[in-house]
Amino acid sequence: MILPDMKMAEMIHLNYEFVSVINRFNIKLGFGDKTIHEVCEDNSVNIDFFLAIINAYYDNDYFPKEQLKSFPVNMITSYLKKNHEYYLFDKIPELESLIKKMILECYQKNHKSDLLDSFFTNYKEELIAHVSYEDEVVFPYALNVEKAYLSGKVTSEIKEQMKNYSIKTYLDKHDDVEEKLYDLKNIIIKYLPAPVNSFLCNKVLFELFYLEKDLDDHSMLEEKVLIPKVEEMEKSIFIRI
Amino acid sequence: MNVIRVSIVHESYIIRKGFSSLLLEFPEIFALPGLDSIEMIEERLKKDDPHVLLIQSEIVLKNKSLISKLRNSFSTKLFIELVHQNVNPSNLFPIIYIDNSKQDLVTSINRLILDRYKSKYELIESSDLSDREKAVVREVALGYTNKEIADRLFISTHTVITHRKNITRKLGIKTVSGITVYAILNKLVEMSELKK
Repeated sequence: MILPDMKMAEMIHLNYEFVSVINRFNIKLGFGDKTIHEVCEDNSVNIDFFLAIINAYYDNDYFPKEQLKSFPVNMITSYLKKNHEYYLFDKIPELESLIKKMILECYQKNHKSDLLDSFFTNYKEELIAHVSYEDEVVFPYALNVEKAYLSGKVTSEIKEQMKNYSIKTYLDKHDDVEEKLYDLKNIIIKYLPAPVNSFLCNKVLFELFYLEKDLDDHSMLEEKVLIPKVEEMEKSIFIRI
Repeated sequence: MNVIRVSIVHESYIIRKGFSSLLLEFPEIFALPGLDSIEMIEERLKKDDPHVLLIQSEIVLKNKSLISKLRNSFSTKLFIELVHQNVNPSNLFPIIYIDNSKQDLVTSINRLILDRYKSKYELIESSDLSDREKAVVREVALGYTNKEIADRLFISTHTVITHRKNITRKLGIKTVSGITVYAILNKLVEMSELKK
């Protein structure tokens, strides 16, 4: 279990994947021998939230649902938004260029390997739509619900919003964006002809596996933390109205 | 990939974690989040719908009547008792001895869980598509809906859906675009035939 007085550098050694997770809190490398507590303080990051996320990421059997639900919606959605930026501006472009390269080098560009290209483009568009929906509709709605819940003031505006939309709509729509990713992995592993250059092919596969896991963890936060939290607030607002 | 869902009910975090870890080595098994007590077990059973429940012997012994009731209401589920040495099992259920070697644990899991589900649920070993399934793959790649496929192949929509589920399970491909790629790579359809 990762605790506040552990050195940030030691934490990274425990699991190198943490490097990208800390970036989502705007924490950059170069923190010397500082402890996690100190680094969080320096970066104005809530240490409890940070550790809850890190420990959940690290141990598949550990998910402090209630503790995560206790944090303000803003904290949760800011983190989720940072994840979105990471996917859209870092991960996907990287994958895209790797796949293009892979098509050229591994499969000697022929019209069948274009299949991969258009398949991935398709996936990219789905992911962008999914993420934009969350950023533009779901998160602002969640924030509004929290505002009404905390202030006790249910404005007619919010009432209107809540009449036409509930967080359950989002849950029902939370389709498996990961499905295409899963298919892509299987197609590369099983059904594409043997690549000329395995190195690049493997690189793409590793990135896909990694992205899939990351998206899984991300979905857990949305489905097991944000949605239930907002649902509870919605219920108590409806009781008041 | 057909997956057997397993839930572990044990007071010890270490045991739950250890078992989760062991079960990771079986691709046919999916270990659900574990429970540390009998509390909320009925809700969990309904929600997670596991095929198999691994329950700590001490918990069974302390809650014999509740567990017997559960066993009766969830009769399609497999209950297995996790027994630590020096504890007398309840004899209500088949047993796995936690203190055994990895080899013996794996053998028990194979014998009690995998073998049972291989025969009961007929986990499909062959990943070869039947001719019918190939035909459906082709239709999906061509962009037809389930209803249209049913009409074109003179079968019911229900049959089409069943075929598609089997196809997904055999190939490990879930989406329509994935199936399309598979179809092209395996020459079930030509790129020129595709809509759009």
